[in-house]
Amino acid sequence: MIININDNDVGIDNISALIQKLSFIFKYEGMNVSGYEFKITSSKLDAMSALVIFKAFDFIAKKSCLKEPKVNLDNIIKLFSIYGIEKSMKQLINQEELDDLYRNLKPSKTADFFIAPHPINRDSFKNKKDLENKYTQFIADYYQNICPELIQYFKTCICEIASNFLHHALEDKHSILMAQGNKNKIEIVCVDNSKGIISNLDPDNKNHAEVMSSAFKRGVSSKKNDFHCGTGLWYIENIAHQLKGTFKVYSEDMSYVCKDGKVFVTKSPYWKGSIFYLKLNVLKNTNIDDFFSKFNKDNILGLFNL
Amino acid sequence: MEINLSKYGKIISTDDTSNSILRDIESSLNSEGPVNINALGVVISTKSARLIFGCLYKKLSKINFNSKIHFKNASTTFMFAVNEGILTELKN
Repeated sequence: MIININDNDVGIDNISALIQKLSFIFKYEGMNVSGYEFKITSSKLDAMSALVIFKAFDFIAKKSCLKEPKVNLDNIIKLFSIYGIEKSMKQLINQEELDDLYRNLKPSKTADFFIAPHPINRDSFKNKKDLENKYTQFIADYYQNICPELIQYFKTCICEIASNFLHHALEDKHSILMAQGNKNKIEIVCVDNSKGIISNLDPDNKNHAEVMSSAFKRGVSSKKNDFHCGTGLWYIENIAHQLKGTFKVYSEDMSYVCKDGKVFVTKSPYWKGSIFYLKLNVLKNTNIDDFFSKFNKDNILGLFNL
Repeated sequence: MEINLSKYGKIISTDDTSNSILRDIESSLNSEGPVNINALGVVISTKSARLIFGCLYKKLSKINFNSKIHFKNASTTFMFAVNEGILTELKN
């Protein structure tokens, strides 16, 4: 069986097509099925598609889904080298141990563009200096002269997304978060193969669209007794809305897409775990501070901010 | 008395760090005057905000919390997380 992945299967608007092509692997857990070949012939690869393919191969290797799948390695290495994960990808294809490679991921930048992959697991979070120096400080420095007023929002989104994956993705210790951007925008992608949003929030509810929608409501969390607030997804969606951005979440058999102020909740090909894509625009005149300050003022707490 | 949060990291999101900050704030409460929480350049997750300031607010009550805990150099997102953390903790 040949799995062809071409230009029609990659890109932010084609993510459902890509998941559709890769979804079969989740049925083959532990089965070591032989005879599969992957031909990735797309001319380029966006960060979201790259991480989805990467995590699919990660799942194949870890869960022994396929026996020695064939791949067109030369093109794959070329496509993934843009994101600095080509060596990890090669090791995944050869089904080798990955722990060290995940630790060696590092950000890079050219004059007008940066790419910053970072593992999300308990080890990387315990090492605060690593997370700060390699990651959020890198991004803060990049935007310091471009939009200093928006850095807090970029860092907040990274913090909330990473925190979400860290605390919910307990089955997959190799989630990767990747940020990339330029002077006009920042994109943040995070993918895992853990328990998805539906299974975390309300596994017995058959109405998955309802469960998926509720995950984005303020104050809804599966872990309220564990000090979560249930604000994360609502918060990110509203930051995206204020910065005229896009927020897409694919989890299990549902997708939640927030774009141009509209929300679409639809069935999606099955992905074990979750895929987050966030694009925030660098806007000069925005009311984002007013929007969130209003929540701080309109309550009874009376906090004192000097 | 001032507690500089950046010494715990520019991103506060783990339970370990949150508990450590909570302990340090609690041990400063006996000092005279307010405890200034300097949040310059610091981002905090809503979960950590609830663990630290939600617990503290519930324990001290509104009047005592606001007379003892003053935030300094806190960004809009930092204060949003703190408000959200406290409001959630009060509801639970």
